[in-house]
Amino acid sequence: MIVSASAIFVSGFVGLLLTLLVETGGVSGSAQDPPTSGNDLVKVRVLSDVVTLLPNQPFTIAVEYTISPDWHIYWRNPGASGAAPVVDVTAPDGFQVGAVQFPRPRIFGAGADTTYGYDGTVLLMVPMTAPPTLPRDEVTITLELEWLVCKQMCLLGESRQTLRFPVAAPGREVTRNQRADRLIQAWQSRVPRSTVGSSAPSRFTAVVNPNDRLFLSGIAGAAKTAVYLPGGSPGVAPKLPGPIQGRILEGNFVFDIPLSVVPEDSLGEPLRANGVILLGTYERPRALQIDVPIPTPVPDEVDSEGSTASES
Amino acid sequence: MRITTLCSTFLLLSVLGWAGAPATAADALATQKASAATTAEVGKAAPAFTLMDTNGKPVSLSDFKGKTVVLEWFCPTCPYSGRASGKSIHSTGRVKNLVKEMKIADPDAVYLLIDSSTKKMGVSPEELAKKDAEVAKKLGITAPILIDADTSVAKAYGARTTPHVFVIDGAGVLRYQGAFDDQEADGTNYPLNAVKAIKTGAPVKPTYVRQWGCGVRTS
Repeated sequence: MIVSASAIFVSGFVGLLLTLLVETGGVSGSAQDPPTSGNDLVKVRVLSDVVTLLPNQPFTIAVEYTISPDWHIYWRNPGASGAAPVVDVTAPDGFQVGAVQFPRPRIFGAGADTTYGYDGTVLLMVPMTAPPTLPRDEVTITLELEWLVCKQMCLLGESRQTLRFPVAAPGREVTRNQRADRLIQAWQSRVPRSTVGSSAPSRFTAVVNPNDRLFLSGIAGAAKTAVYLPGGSPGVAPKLPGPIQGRILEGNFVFDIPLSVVPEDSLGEPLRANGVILLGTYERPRALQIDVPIPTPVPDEVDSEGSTASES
Repeated sequence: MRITTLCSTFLLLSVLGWAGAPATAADALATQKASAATTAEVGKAAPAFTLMDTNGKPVSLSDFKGKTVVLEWFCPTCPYSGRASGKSIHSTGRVKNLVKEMKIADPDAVYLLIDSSTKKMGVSPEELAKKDAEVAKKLGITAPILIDADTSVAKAYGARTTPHVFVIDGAGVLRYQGAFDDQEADGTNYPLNAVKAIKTGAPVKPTYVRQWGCGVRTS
């Protein structure tokens, strides 16, 4: 059953209110009343770290999913089956809408049937930036949400959420929602850290060698285990299914992963090895985002005698 | 009784050789073991099978030798498959569109559904066949739905989701496996592109796109 309600987040500044229209799915009724929709199994609410907006203001919108016990939703790469949650943001012209940030997932199942996702509660976050010019009174942002929730069977859920942000008067500071801000920061700490360019951790190496092997190494810290989850980039996949265990050697993690690289399966996208490294436990997480470009292979030159040239 | 016959033959007929049905039940079991060890791989011979459809009629891959065959893994309760929803490839008409376009490109091409949901749904093969027949009637599905009673065909093909799709050419070689489409309105239908490429002798591209949908349970 879908129940519409309103939730108001106030951050110590009475009068400036961010009204959230929240649809709650609630928990499935009873054993005699099996769920018929993903809305019966997943409660969603939308929140933001700000109550008001100013021009050029960066802020974050988050969707909190509260999932019924024993059921799960999926990571951006669901793995062998499933489907990633959809978070479609519609904002007025000029707003910058970033990519959905997915915290590190849990691993469900094993081997070729492994899937990646979340149970319990999870926040998916969308970084936003307001444009240089805002209307005088209010900004409305709409989110279209879809999710697949599975146990033995799978059900789809969907919801349309609306956020309304009063525009702060010129010269005033943005009002933050402290409670939502803390929650979002806590979940953002679980989003895999970028390892590209200046974001790369010290002593971090990620390279795909000419034999299509992905080599990864870096500081493991106190972590006793290191696991690589493929991100699902088209045309590139580890040759072994499921999560891949790395080695921990003298405080460093090391992966040497044979890849299957099939350019014709890339769907026109640049070939890249992407995924995440999970260090530590789900409760005490550290995760790194991996994104290594793979040069498009050039067909081997064939000499006049028909043999192929190769480097030694 | 047809149901009784259906139930017993489900146990005997599952994964059989490309050459056709074995002469005895012992042959059937022996062949099942041999074929179950085969794993579907693009560019290699697709695992052969013989399964019962919802009317109790045996259907073999070898029945369609010389024709392109599209296999779609099906589940009557999955919202991407047989449960009517805005995402179902059947209730949204995407399968009908594919079959229509496929028949234009290759009138001889064949579209088959395989349901391996006995373990997932905790039902008997005959209960699953009955449920599938009801769903087929409701959604206007005309393609045969084959019941993979012991899920051995799903294992042999590595079918992970409903819908997970496989395209097999007339020589019995698997040419594409993976997603049904890109889930975009007026988007790309990968098996249709594969059927067209096979018909014209062009290379099949892509040969694999990561499948999406509800999980197929084989254990």
